[in-house]
Amino acid sequence: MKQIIFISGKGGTGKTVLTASVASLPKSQVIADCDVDAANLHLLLKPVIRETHRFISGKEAIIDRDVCRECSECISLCRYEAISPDFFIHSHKCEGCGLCSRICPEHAISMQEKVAGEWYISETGFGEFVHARLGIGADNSGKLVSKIKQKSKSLARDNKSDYLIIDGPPGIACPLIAAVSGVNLAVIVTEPTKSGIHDLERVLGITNHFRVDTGILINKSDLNPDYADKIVSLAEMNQIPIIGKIPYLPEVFEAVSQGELPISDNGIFELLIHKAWGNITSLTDTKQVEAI
Amino acid sequence: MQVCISANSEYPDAQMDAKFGRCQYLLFIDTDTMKVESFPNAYKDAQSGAGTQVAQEVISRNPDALITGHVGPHAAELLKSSRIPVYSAEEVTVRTAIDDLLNDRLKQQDL
Amino acid sequence: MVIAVASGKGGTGKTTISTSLALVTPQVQFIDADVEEPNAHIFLQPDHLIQQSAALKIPSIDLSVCTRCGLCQEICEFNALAVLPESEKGPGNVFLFETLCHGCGACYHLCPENAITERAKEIGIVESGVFQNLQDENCEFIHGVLNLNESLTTPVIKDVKEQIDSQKTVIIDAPPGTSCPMIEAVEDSDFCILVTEPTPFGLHDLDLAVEVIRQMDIPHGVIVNRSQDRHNIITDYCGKRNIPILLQIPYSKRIAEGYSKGIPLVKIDPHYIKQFQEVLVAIQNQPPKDISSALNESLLYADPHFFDENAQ
Repeated sequence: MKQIIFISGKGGTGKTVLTASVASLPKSQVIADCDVDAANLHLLLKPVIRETHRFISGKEAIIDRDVCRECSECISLCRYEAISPDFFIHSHKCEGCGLCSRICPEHAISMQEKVAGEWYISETGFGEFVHARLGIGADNSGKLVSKIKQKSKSLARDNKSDYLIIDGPPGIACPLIAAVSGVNLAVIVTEPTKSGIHDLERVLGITNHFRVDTGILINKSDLNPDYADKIVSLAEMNQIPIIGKIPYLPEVFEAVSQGELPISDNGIFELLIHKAWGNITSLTDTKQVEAI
Repeated sequence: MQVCISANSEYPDAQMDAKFGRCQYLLFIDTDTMKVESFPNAYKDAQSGAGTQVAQEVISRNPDALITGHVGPHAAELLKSSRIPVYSAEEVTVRTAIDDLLNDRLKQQDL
Repeated sequence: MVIAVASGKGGTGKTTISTSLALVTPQVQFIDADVEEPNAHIFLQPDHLIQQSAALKIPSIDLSVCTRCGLCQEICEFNALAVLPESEKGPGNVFLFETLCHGCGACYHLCPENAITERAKEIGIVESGVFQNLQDENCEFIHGVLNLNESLTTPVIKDVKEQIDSQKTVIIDAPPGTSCPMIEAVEDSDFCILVTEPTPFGLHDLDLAVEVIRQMDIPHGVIVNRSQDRHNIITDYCGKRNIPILLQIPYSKRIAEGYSKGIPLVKIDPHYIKQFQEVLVAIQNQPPKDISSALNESLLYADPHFFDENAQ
């Protein structure tokens, strides 16, 4: 079973549309959306939810106002400014460290489990789909991403699927690191713009450090040929294969604006996606990278 | 000798679990008597640092060897300093893994 | 006045909007709080950059005083500490796994032997510098950059926001999403501009962002980027919820090309200078609830002739 993730560093490069398009090519697969903060893949895959699970992550403090005598020890020690002057705990600021609970002289503070979101197993026309919704203001620590990875991997193994296709999170912090761990290939979707290249370099810093095999897919490639060339040079210098170059195509934008997958009519886009997928499979099939 | 092995279920049907920190069970086996003690892994759903907690559990029982798959960097640091040798195995049955260890067929991990 | 620019979804044009707004604002201070992927400096080109460290306080254990009691390990909710007791194999040890440490100080405060002190661990940098707005004023630019391989973004965002000069008009470019980092960046702002695009993705994520902003009780308005029609799914949504649309920017290949080179929107097309000035005036001068009446038709959509000229 090969795990392939699509990441981007910067948002808006078209990662989710490309992931959905690759997922729509018929094959034995499980699909996962690890972009848990503002998840979008389901808008194109149109899943039917089969299972819903609560996601518990960490703890948060609760103050019993009947016992509290307002000495303010907790306020002075909390490093996250999570306790207001009137002893109200801001849930989104509380990191659940438990210090206040331990030092309160009246034992007025207890720690309880934080419900940080939900995750789902669904059916789509292309295979089973594992996705989530992070609660508003929840701590995006990467734990929910890890949960999606773990569940989708075991589903793929149980189903004896050939592939696990993952829509990855943006950024470079814990969620990204949790998502790329153990994949066979990370496809970085980038765009030929100054911002795009800046963020590509930062993402490469992470994938190089964790020794994750990468490929680069240049989206909206005709937007700026000079920058597209810069990306190709950067790829060559780092010995990273170019998976594909996809120009800006109005028909793709049109389809996505209607909430439709842009693959249906043997147009240029469909051909380019097939080509990219071909490159992806030849990379993952010839390399002996162990998926963890 | 006392051998610890990460496993996906309880003995005797268990297979080695390649994940260390998030394995399902830890088995401690006396290779002379083949007596087995199994412990479900309480840390497998931990937010972070599962590996270090499991490593602590292993170290506190002081086995002569550990057989497992992938050990994360934090757990590796702990195990290295404990000087318990850690061996790699594939996801074979526990019996096979122990047999391989006793017959010098397993490779020691360079943590 | 503090104006935050946010969006549920990434890539809708937050930085395009925030940098152009900053360029037309007199006495402005610009803060890029997207510390994982800061981009605004590409467009504003600040110089005279001074760096400061953004640090977490992490524990330092004095092994000669430590009794290996293991309490710190028990207390740590993030499993960042591991204590190996003394045994015949050696004197034992205490391991700190820095990348798991959240800097909460619990171990430091609760060690029964006072064996723990704290040291600063750099997790990012805050850079401040100067850029020129369109009135040729020297304006302050500040951004935070999270170090690679660090995971806690909110402490760096906090450090960046500490630089806010409340005497000025402050524009904050927030990180995408609706989780902790976005909330940290947007909190305590006087107004929040939500940037979106007229697609199902844009609508879905705008809805999430609106929910957060409403919970934070911050007055807000929407800017629609890459618009194709005057009336679209975003204008429908905003109409139903009584959220003012401050501006719509039609899709234009010329704008996209200029963006790719790192040129701010108001420099690619100076026609937008007036538009952004009017957005600023509307936000500053009207009580936020009356903002829809402050905006006139021409503001809500770019000049129709301009649109025809620049379509595709």
